[in-house]
Amino acid sequence: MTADEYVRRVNYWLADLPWRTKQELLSELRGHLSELPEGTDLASLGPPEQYAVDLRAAAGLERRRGAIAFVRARRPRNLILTVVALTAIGLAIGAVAWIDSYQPLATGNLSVDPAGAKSSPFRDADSVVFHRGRRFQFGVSVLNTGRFTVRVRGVTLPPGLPFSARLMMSQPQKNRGGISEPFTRFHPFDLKPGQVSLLFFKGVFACRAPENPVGVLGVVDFPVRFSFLWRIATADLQLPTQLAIVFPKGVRCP
Amino acid sequence: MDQTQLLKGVLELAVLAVIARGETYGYEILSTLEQAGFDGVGDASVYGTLRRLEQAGHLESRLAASDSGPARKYYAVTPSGAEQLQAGTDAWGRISGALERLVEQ
Repeated sequence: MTADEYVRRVNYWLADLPWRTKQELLSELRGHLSELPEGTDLASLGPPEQYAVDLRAAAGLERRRGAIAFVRARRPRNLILTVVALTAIGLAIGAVAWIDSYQPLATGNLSVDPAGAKSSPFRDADSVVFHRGRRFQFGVSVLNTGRFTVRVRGVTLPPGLPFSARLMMSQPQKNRGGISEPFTRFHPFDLKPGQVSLLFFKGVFACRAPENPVGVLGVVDFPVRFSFLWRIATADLQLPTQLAIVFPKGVRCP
Repeated sequence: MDQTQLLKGVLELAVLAVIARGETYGYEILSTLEQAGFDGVGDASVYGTLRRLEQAGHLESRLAASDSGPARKYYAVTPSGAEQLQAGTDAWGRISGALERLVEQ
């Protein structure tokens, strides 16, 4: 057995001691081993385990157990590195979770309803009668209530709604209660904190569903697609008033 | 009776006595003890005793470069160590005197 190996094995039997104490003891052992005359058989020191037992007994170092002993037996530098790494991992997980739940968009105080829409007997809804080919428009203003800019990517209404329209937008502007023209075709844009933009569909009533619609078709929310950092999500913005599209009897669609 | 057990009982005094002669280091302490007849005591017990005495304030130490290998740890007796040695030697004298008288009778 070499001196290094002897020290390593004694180290194993002292593993529960506080790091500094253990280093002092091992450094003394190293010093001692280096003083031994050339060619001394380390077996004369006894087995490493016995050496460790005798050292403990004479020095009054009892075996330590438990979490505190485990922590104190670690090298301080490694402890700090571990704490730093765990903190970084925790913060990263927290940041990812936060980013995944970040949704700053809200409905502004402007909405666009189709011409001829009326307050209806349905609660919180405006109703409009379907009339194939008649002009149609519908939308709301979208406000960024958060502290970070998000990119607005579009509006994904459920398929089959009875109109053929293209999405329009106003330039993002500070939220002062109103929206100023011009309105242009929608393109993805950045909405900064406190900014508002009017998003609305403009076109004509049209038959889109494969089957003849019956009765009333309600639009409850306005699903705005947005992206923040790497994440793309949909914010289902609640409409100030729902839109109910009423199909009169006798409408043939398609 | 196993001589080793008896030696271990007075090891603390013996170590203090060796260092009281003058500042010295671990390996030299071991050699001196061995020459004095403390050859049944393991090296680990001597190093353990040195540590315990130092922790108790009876010894002080300094590191000094060595010609061979790592720095040597030199030990010296503190005033409290000297008191401990005196008290221990007195007690040991009384015990061994008492034991001798008991055996002679």
